[in-house]
Amino acid sequence: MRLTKGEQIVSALNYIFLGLFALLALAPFVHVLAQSLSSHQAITSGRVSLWPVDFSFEAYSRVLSEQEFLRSFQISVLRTVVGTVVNVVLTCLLAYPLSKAFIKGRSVIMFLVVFSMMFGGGMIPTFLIVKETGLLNTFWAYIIPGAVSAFNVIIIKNFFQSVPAELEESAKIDGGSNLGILFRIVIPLSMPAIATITLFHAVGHWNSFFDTVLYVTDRKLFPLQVYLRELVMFNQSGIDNNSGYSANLDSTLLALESLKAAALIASTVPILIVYPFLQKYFVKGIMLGSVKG
Amino acid sequence: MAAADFVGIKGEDGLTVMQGKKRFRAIRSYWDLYLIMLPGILYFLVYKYLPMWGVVIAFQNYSVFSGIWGSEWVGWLHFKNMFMADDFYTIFRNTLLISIYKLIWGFPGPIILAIMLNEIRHMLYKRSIQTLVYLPHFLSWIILGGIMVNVLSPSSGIVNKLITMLGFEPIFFLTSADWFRTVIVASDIWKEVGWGAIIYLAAIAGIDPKLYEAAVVDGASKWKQLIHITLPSMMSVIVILFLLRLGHVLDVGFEQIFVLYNSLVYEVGDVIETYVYRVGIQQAKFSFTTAVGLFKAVIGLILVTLANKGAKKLGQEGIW
Amino acid sequence: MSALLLVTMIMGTACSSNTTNQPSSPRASSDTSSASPSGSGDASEELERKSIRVVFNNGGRKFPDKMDENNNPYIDFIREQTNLDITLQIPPADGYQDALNVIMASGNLPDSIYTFDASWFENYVKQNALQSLNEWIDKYGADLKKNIPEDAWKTVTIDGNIYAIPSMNAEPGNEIMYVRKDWLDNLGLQPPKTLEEYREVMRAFAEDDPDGNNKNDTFGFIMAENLARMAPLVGAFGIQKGMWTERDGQLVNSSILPEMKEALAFIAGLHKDKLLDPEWILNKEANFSEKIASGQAGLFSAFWYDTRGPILTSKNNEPDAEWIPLEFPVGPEGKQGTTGNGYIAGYNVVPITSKNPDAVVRMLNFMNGEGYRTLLLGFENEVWSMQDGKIVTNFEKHNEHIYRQTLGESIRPFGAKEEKDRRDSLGLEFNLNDNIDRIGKVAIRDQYFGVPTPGMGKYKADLTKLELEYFTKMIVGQLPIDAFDKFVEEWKKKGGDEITAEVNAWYTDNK
Repeated sequence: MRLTKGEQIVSALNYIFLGLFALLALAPFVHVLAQSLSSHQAITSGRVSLWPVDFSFEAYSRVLSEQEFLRSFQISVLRTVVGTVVNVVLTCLLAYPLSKAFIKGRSVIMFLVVFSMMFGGGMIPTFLIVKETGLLNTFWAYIIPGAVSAFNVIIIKNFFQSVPAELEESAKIDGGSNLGILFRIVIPLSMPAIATITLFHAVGHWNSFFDTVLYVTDRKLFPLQVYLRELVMFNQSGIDNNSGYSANLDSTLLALESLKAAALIASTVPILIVYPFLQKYFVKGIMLGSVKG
Repeated sequence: MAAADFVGIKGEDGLTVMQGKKRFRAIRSYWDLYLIMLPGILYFLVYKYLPMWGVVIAFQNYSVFSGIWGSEWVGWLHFKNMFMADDFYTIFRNTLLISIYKLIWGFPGPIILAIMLNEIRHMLYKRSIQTLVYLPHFLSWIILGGIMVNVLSPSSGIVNKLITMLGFEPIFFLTSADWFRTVIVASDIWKEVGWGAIIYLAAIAGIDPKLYEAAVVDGASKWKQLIHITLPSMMSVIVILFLLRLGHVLDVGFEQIFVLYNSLVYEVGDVIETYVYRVGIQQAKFSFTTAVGLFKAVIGLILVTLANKGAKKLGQEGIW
Repeated sequence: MSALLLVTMIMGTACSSNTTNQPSSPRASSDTSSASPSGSGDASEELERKSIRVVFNNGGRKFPDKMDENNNPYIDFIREQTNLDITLQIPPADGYQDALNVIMASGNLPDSIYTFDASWFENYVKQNALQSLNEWIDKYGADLKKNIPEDAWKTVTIDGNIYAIPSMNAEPGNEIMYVRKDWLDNLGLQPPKTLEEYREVMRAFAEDDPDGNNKNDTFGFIMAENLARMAPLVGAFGIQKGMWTERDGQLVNSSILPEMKEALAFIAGLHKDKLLDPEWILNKEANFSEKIASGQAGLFSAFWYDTRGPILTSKNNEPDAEWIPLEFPVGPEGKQGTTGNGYIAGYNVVPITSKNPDAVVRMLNFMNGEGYRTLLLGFENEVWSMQDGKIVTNFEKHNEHIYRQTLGESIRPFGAKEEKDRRDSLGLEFNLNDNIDRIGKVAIRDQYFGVPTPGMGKYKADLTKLELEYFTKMIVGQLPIDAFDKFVEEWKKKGGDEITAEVNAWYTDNK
């Protein structure tokens, strides 16, 4: 590719700036990683910044052998997988008809979806509905109250609309059914968008904790984030000790800094792994563009 | 019970609206497409629209033991209390200011980042950068808050070490009313910009490469390609995201402020969400909380409606 | 009004979602149990077997492998001894109170709930959501009556009905001054006694390089966010922030007394002369401890158990570091003091829907009485054993069995002698009981110990914020000390006067 001199300079600056920004983004993560591989003493005396001090894997072996960690890990994985599948399937099923002008009542439904994004009942009324529908203290409290995201319906609908109509029509002439066209033509062509919302939903499920606080009190159903909050955040702001735990006496020695860091890393890595798998679809999207034209 | 009834009625209504022969034929040949929408529609009715009706508790002294039907009606009392509270105007102003700063500085960030990333030709470099910039999104504010206190510390923080090396006085970033909002906005951008760029990257990925090929043949510079191809192709996504963002203009992010604020910056840092948390959630004042939430939602709705009209005037598609 | 109707409605929801097998007629069953001989401890085997669901705060403690809150020897111990089938529920420690609100709203209510928040308790009493326990405490609560003092019962009694069984605070207060003796020695100083001597030590620690490394890297004194860790300094003026105290036969809030202004002026002086850690406003638990452990501060107001925390870490980091407790600073008028804990650490309440208040009282009575020693110390000869009249703790077992504390602290008796044994068993070198004794001698207690008043519910959050904002700004010099008078005026106007009137109405009745 031929670039002018000015373009070359801009491009070089672009490379450098992004590189620096990436390092800036990486720094806190490295900090936590270094803590997870250091001793408790080194951390509390402020000697750990970006490199482990008194290197050891002990924190990891302790976290990974912790029963409660493993159980909540399972819940989180299950929740992320089931939840994301439900999200993506329902979103596509709703978005496809909405992308077709010939569907009657489309604008009404569309308004219903969009309006729900701009106005809502808020936490307490939603809680009451979740309670009435019998989801409290069940696994489904993680899945159903957030089953469809209005925002993603709009994104996917717009993407479906950009799938060339000729492709669908020719499939129709070949005798494809409505649903057949959706699953064999439209969805494969929309993979970049679907990969995007899959990632959004997966991360959302993995990181979510507030719905547990609201809807679930059964410990067997607690996901990783709740486990982490108990481990990591607890004590952080309790310095004036007004929260009623006068017996912090025992926990001060147990909740080791390195342990917290290790649990944090161990529970962030799985969701990071998802990304590269989906990333290839972003690249594919570019190639698919040529098919579209 | 009540929930099921409500949905049932709605469903029947939907059908009666769609009667008429011509329509019926169209529905028959696409019946399966109507059918697959049902779960989604049902979801919205039950979990989004029923709670909207539930905001009536903002006009009650709602007690969980009496329920919506049994609670005492108090009219606009909670709203009056809200507007009468001395701090309310300070809090409202802070909320608006922080939010507007976040919008002005934070909204373009992901767009610019996506465009910059798109210009990187070296695939491995591009992918590494992409992977790194979204890392902060995964760390919660509670952890980042601790790290920020260290980094910004006037005596030992790296930022202030640089500042003193350059011969300036150290800055008390987190306890100075002048700096607090800047810190909030900047750290928010830093945390979310990479994540926010994902959707724009997907939009750019959807652009037909033939457009660029044709532009190169015509001798268009990179800059021209950006102005005439990339940006216009992203425009619909940008407008939609901007409009939606306006709807949440009063949501400034509870966790971040909660972790970083302190008594010296209440004047500039206390926002609606921290206020609601203090007086609403901590003391289980459900009705009051719902009233404040309702107030917020109405403001958001008005803003989006206005902006949507504006967008349409400018020839953009808008949300509806 | 139609309270009865309400109750039946709630019961309806509770029943429909409750899967455990419970006796279908609660009245009848409690009648039968009251017919059986009751009162003394040995009757427990004859008492009816019942199933109850109980919510406690686990405080983030861990269970050993293969165990959980419902599957461990301590809960089995209670189950066997009380002949009750107990199911425990432990919401996340972070956001515990929020979880309680959710539980109360869920319609599937447990038989007993532990809360540490007095206003939460008061709020649900007001909503008629809790049941009166008088009858059952009379019948099954002999140990509870013995181990919980009269004053404490008063705070949970409304119109003659007891709505909660309190868990008591084991310690009289938390804060005591600790100093680096090695730093004092380096500078040739004596342990300070008066406030002025304290000030001189702070000055020397900040300016005279107590650690001898020729760097200006030490603070004179260190405090923490939300004006924490300054109680002994304020105490030298004879008061404690926010507490009610008697003046001329009336209760007044110490925060608006002239003594408070003097105390603030003293601390503001420390800040002005750069003796305080300039970042004290931002210090949370973690970085507060870090600064002590890393040798940046040699004088601070420690919690009595900090000798096992940051002070221990400091000694491990620097073997030369020698920490000693100090006399509480003596103020200009010869006063000393530190924040005293309220009597009550938490409340066990029984929701109105529960059909087993009798069983809840039976359980709590056992945990508070006969069972307490085991719940606090662990099983004898497993976690600890008696050697030469002293308790010797096996620390590995102690830490493994730490989850037992959840049960013990939920219904702690007042002044049990086991508490002392336990603290000693954690290691005499940590000086825990000595710290507690020193604190007990000067602790200033709140003289209001009724239930939170309606005015507190309405205004307290805002008043606390107002106070915090003013006091912090006065200390760091953003406001002059004379702004205190404006604060007092605002405090009174914004609900302070209303609360004062309510508090004094209570005081007149309970003097």
